[in-house]
Amino acid sequence: MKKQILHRLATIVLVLSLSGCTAFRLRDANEQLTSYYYAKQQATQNSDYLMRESVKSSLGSLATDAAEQAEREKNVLNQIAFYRVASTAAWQAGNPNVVSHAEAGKKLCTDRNFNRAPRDCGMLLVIPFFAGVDETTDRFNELQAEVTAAPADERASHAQATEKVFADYRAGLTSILTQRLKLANSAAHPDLLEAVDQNTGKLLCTLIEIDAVGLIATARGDVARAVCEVHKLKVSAFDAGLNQSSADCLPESKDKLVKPQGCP
Amino acid sequence: MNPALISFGIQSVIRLGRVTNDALDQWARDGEAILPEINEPNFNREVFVNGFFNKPENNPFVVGDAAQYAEYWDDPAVKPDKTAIDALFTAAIKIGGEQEVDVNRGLAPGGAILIKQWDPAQSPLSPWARIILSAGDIALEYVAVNPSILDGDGNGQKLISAYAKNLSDILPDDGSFGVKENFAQRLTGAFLRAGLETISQNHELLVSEKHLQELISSSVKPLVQALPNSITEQLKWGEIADAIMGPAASAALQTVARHQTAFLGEDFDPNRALGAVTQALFLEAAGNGLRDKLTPEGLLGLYRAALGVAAERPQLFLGDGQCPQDEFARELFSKFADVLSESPPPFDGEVGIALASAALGAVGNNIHRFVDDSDPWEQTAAEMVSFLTTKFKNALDTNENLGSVFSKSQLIELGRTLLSRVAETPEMILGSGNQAWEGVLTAVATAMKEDTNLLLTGDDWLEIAKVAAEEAATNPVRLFRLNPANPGDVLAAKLISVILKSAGAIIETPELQGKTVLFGKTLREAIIIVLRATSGNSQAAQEHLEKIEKLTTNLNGFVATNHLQYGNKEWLRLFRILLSPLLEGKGIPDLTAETANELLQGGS
Repeated sequence: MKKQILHRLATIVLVLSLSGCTAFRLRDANEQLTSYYYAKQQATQNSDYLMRESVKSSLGSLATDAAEQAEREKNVLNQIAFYRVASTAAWQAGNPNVVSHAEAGKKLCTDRNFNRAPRDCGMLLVIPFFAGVDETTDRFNELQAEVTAAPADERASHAQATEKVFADYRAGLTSILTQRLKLANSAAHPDLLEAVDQNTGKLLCTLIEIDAVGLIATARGDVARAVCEVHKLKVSAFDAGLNQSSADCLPESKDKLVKPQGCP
Repeated sequence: MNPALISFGIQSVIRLGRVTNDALDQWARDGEAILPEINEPNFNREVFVNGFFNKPENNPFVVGDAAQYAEYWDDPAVKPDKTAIDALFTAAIKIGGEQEVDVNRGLAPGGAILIKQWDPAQSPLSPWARIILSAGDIALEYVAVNPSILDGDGNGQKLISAYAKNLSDILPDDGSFGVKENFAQRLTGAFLRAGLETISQNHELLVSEKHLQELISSSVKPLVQALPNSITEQLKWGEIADAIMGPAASAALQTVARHQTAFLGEDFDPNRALGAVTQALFLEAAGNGLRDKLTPEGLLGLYRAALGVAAERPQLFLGDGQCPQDEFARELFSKFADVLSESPPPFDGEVGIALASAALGAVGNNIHRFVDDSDPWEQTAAEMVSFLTTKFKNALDTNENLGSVFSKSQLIELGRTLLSRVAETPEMILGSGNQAWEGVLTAVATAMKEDTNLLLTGDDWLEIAKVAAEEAATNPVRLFRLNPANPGDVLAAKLISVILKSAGAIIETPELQGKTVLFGKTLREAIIIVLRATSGNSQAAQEHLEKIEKLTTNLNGFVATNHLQYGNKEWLRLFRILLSPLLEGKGIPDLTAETANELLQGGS
């Protein structure tokens, strides 16, 4: 009888410790992140700015909670997963902590751990850069409104600022392309590379080549230089493995890429 | 996949709890994670045109001798006037195709991709292993509370086997799970969790594996097959599954526990009926959404009541060839949802749901009495609730003081009492144009309006309503007959009112105020005595209404004046003694101490 009671007690202690384990909390954090993201998207679509701000605040709290949980975790792979949640949530909240959360996670992604959590480590590599791109886009929108509202003869005063936006986009793209090879060679689900490539293609072909160059031209900045930079970026994109399926401004192959006139 | 293997896998996970801890962690880590798309800048036509025509392949359209659109261009940008911008924008669409020109971008949110941890070719866990871990994860929660739940061939084992069988039927062997398969896992997971919870709370539960299989299968499979293709609808179904399927599955299994005899033997009808009701619950929630006045709790309250009926009378929910089972059960939810949506306060919310559940339960328990095809029983039950709430709402509106007399639970009990009685005597509502039922409600509600001094409590009214309903069931066309010319003119209401009037009058007499005994329990008993004495003799009651009032008034005055000698017991005995001869047409004797004592002694 005593043995039976001890057995039951041991089982209860064991399972209670299991029920309080990371599996449940991490799952909750993931689900919250996804729900908040879709809620933010819906609020944006409905132009419900109050709701959007409220969801961004929730994402900010989730980022803090997930980062704190990561610090408490004993299992390094769980720590990485929580930092991945924290950095994604911070990115979507527009919270600058995205960088510190991602850095904390990346430090744990040694070669060995990268192979044990390839998607999480892969995401930690690129999330800060995507967050940086979104931040630049916010600046772009403000600047675009100012430039297009200004009289033609005053637009040139914004030229330097438009070139800075271009430079920031370019830096973001270069950094992401640098990480691409590591992602391509990892055991992460192929959807990760596809998602990263889609973002990268959009950055190169829309945000940089159309929007950023277009804004420089509108402000009468150094367009020729920007066009040459775009060409260089396309060469780098090919070298990093990006192709036309993700970046529709790229030709079918690298040898069909034509250098614009006047570029060094 | 062989269900025995799934079942074996789940058992192994549980037995190897400590070893599988890492696997459970990994399972959580390896689930889908979201990677959002980057945002696109707001669209501006001028900036777009400048970007588009500065692309090396498009620049020749605006620069050079052969440039088609040179007139609009002032290198390196479009001329800053609207005509030039519009012209080049149109040209850009022509050159680049509309796909390159998304004028709504910036407003439309970007998408996101859900990404799993591993390349399937290098994944350490197969989809089947993840399902098994998921089930083991659920089971472990309950093993903590009840370590013996999965011992031997107990109910826990049977449930896991039933769960495994259902999954193996639904999911493809190759592990290529799509949206429907994932939804199936979600639903069956809810059943497994609810089942283990129910089993841990009902040790005496006797169920067979086949019955559990049938219950899960009849609830889950049709829903999985009906899962819509639209992403928005799928998200909605997912939300509803999370909100109600767990409690619903728990309620279904608790119904099995409460109606065990119905679920023994080879007849699977009760399980199929429970499945039909469970489907209907889900489809009603998915179809009409969870309305303001019909919260998930409300819907589940109705569902529990419907389950009770389904367990006892499964054939009612299994269709008759003309009305398929799922449609029938859904009709039931829909009708009650309509009634509850329209119920006025305080009969909305919790009270309305409790009354609806009471009506369903009461009619269900007496279903053999509701066989009229032209008047479907679920329709009758819904109408009973609607009628009851309307009548009592009217009484509460007319006598505002009553609002403080009834607590929510008393209102529910009052309704339940009347509904139970009427369900036992459906003649009150069927074939008689609702007259007796309306008569009872009118009598009680009208009398309640009269009690402006609040001499009766909510519990007192409950007792009076019980007796009124009983007497109406016994003699439906006498005391509670409606006057077609004046629907409020019901004899029982008049009888209660005269007693109340007398009781109220003495309170307004200063010298007797504080000495009367005719309030509360004594007043309630007096009304009950009158109702019982007159229900078989309504003609006498009609003829001697004034005398009844006079008797009550006289007796009140006498007992109050002699309050040191006589109390409530004497009041009630004298009333009972004097009422019978009065109804036979005899006069009211002058009440003195001497006559009263004689009557009391004679009556003892």
